Amino acid sequence: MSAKTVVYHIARNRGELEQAFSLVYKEYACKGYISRHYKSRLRLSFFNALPSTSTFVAKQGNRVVATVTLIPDSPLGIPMDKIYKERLDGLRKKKRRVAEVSQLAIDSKLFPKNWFSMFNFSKLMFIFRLFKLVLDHALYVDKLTDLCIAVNPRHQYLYKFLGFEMLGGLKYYGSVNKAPAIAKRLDLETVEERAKARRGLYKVFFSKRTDNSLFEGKFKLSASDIKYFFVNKSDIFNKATKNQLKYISISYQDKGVGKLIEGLR
Amino acid sequence: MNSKESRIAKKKILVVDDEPEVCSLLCDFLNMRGFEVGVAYNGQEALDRVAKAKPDLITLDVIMPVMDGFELLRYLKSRNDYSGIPVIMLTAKKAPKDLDRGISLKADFYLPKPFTFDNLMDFINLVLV
Repeated sequence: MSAKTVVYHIARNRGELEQAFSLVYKEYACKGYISRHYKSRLRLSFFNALPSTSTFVAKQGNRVVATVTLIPDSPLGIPMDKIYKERLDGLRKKKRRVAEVSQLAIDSKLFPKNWFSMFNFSKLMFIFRLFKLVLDHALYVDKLTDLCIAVNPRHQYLYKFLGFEMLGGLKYYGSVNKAPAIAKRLDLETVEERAKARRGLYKVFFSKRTDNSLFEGKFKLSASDIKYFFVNKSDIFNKATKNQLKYISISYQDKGVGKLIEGLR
Repeated sequence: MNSKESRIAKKKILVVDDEPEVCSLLCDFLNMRGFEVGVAYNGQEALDRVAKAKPDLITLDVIMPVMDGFELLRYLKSRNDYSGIPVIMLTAKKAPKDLDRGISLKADFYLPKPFTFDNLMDFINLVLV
């Protein structure tokens, strides 16, 4: 794959978001992380409905070939609270501003199957470019102090290389078909200093800030988009608690969202 | 010589590997790309060479006599005057625990053998250019 043909930016329309959710579904289903019987063939969660959540895409032409989502903490928490709440609460007590890196998926057709990301330059740089967006958005747009992630232990080396430290030990994560997971955390206040130990890594992540234009035009869900993704294409809002729906309702200025949620109660 | 090659020309790379064939192949390849290349066949010899002429980058095997690659890496990264030298591990040891050790010891990159020269060159360019 030629990396030059790929563009990376924040998701800017419903089509990109839908492709991203579809890619996550397809790749997670291939790996056995989710059952294949999702009616919509989209993998998304309640947290994707929050306006503070940002989804990033890598595109080849009109096709989304990779995606990752950044979910800043809110009164509803973050997805990995399900199994690591105690650890995350430890960070919250220290007034850390936390977010979860979630829904990372790369089209498996993009690189040969036997290319382990740590060992192959093209694949590693591809992943780094996606992470660079997440890192700079977390640092300069969301102004966070910690990125957290629940990962399958076999992927832990890449995160360790990026500077993530252990946050929580091995557990089995119901959200991904009880696949094994460990929690990792990246301290954003020290990451640049620590990255100086590796010149190549430092160059990729800290020699230049991401151009702001790549974060511009973030797609804002309208009431109709919310209905499409969370009512028509999934049963996420039907399964949501009153508190969750209430929080969604007050998070949007769009009165249509409030009306949509009223109608569900 | 293209612009990238001119920027890396005369950068010094120390190849550390106990297999003469690997050293020879790497030397030829790196010489052709304009690098000044030195060779050491074990960790101790590498230390002597680093002390004499600080290289801009080291490619480092793990399994070697006298002082292995991990020991050398640990030593280099513990020394203020050497810790800034980028180290690319080139090793047959590709088990997760070995990769984990290389990362913990702050190897810049960790590549298993067999490797392709193009892939190695991409990593070298990132670090040196």
